[in-house]
Amino acid sequence: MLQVADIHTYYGKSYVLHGVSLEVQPGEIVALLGRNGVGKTTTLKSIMGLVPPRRGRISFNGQELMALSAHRVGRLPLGYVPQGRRIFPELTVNENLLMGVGPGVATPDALERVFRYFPILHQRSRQRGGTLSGGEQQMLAIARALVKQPTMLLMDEPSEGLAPLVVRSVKQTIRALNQEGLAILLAEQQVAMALDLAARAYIMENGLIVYAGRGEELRRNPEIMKRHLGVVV
Amino acid sequence: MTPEAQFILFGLNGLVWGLIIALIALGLSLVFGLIEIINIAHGDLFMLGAVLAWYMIQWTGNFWVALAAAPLAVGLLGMLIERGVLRPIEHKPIITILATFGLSLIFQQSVLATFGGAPQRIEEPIGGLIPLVGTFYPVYRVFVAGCALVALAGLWLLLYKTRYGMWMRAVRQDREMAVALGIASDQVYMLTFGLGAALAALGGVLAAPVTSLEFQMGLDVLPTAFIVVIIGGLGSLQGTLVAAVLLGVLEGLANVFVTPTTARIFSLLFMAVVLLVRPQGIFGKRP
Ligand SMILES: Nc1ncnc2c1ncn2[C@@H]1O[C@H](COP(=O)(O)OP(=O)(O)O)[C@@H](O)[C@H]1O
Ligand SMILES: [Mg+2]
Repeated sequence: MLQVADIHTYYGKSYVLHGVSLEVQPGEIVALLGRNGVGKTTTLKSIMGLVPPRRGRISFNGQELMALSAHRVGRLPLGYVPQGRRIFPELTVNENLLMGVGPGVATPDALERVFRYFPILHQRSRQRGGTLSGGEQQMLAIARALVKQPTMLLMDEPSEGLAPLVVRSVKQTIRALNQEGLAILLAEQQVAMALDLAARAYIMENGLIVYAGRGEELRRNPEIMKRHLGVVV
Repeated sequence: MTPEAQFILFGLNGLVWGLIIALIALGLSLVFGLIEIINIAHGDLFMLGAVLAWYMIQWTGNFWVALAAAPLAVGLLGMLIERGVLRPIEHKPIITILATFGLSLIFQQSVLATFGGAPQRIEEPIGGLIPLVGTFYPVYRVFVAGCALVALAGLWLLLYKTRYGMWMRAVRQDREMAVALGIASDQVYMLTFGLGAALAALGGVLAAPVTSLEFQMGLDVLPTAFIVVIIGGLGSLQGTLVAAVLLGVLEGLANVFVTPTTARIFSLLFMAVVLLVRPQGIFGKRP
């Protein structure tokens, strides 16, 4: 459903992605692992067209994303949950959710669905996004990506900076969304959490994919984890 | 005239002027919220509004046509400036400052070449005086205040009650995220610029009958609008409105005692005091 083939991405003159390839099949959770600064965020931003790659190909459901401007990619059924949540702090919770459909219209169904997942957001709907706690902001970031009823989500470190209890609830949410059929590309530094969820995993290092394989296979190879991630789970 | 009456009249004049400044400063603030640059040509858009109104009144003899058409024309010009000048230079700070400074000179010189250097006047489209505290107050000024308030209310409705306004606020807060959600931020930039320009021009048309028109009339309002935006708190639209009215009334009252030039000193003192007590401005958030 998502194919990324040999993308090369730069920030100005600095060469960050040196040819990244990966794919996600319908209904899959795929983990994108790697230490800080290896290019996970840049990979997701490249897919969204926010930092357009100079070379390579990206296709989503057969559509060539690199031919589209970023706001057009933003209108596809491809939800983006950015690192650091990026809630609009001065917009209310409700407005943040309405932003999720871009220029489209939020159907009552879609809103009801996200409120079912996150009842707390319903209670807080008139509050400003900036007044929510970190965990609530993460829920809002996920909910905002869901209102356009995507078939796939790109999630960038959804567990970052959250208390363990909240991480567990985020994890349950991801699993539940996947069980409803959503494909998810999950960039994470919390290897254990990511491998609990994902069937397949990629590991990045210095702008390259250095490992691709099944999750259990990675778990059986502590030396690979040690070498590329610096942790063993 | 009794001293009390004089006090009330000058205060009212200050209030009316403050509301005009609020229109101009809100336009400046809207644009500042996007590019974090003060548009040096903003005062000249105010001037263009007034001068265009003068021409339109010459052609049609009708102030009301000018009141509607001049802000529209200047609004389109603002969109053109964003699309044709600022977007190609990618809103880079230093070049943007230079570019808007260049535009300011171009506008002034074009008006000087066509309209001439001699100040002109526009007659008040509504005559009449309202009796007030033993003296009289011009109806037109009351109309100006009403008109400015309606425009401010309209701006508020646009920003807070429409989807387009929500997009404008979102782009201002986090452009990249808004784009990732499907908002065409280029379009939002262009329309915000147009709106800012139209507000300045509306201020210009409303002010035209109570001031004299000349190609440098924008030079005077730009610093005032700038002061108001700073006192109100950069990026806060409510702050800008409150500061404009406070400053207008303060200057108006100061005019009772001193010359208008000296009254300007009160504004600067006021800014100094506000910034000493609240460096982030009245409604600004702590950095
Ligand atoms: N806006 C930017 N401008 C320049 N370099 C950047 C920018 N964002 C990230 N980088 C650099 O790109 C590399 C990859 O960063 P990133 O994709 O954020 O990694 P990760 O998400 O894996 O931590 C890092 O070396 C980082 O310093
Ligand atoms: Mg990252």
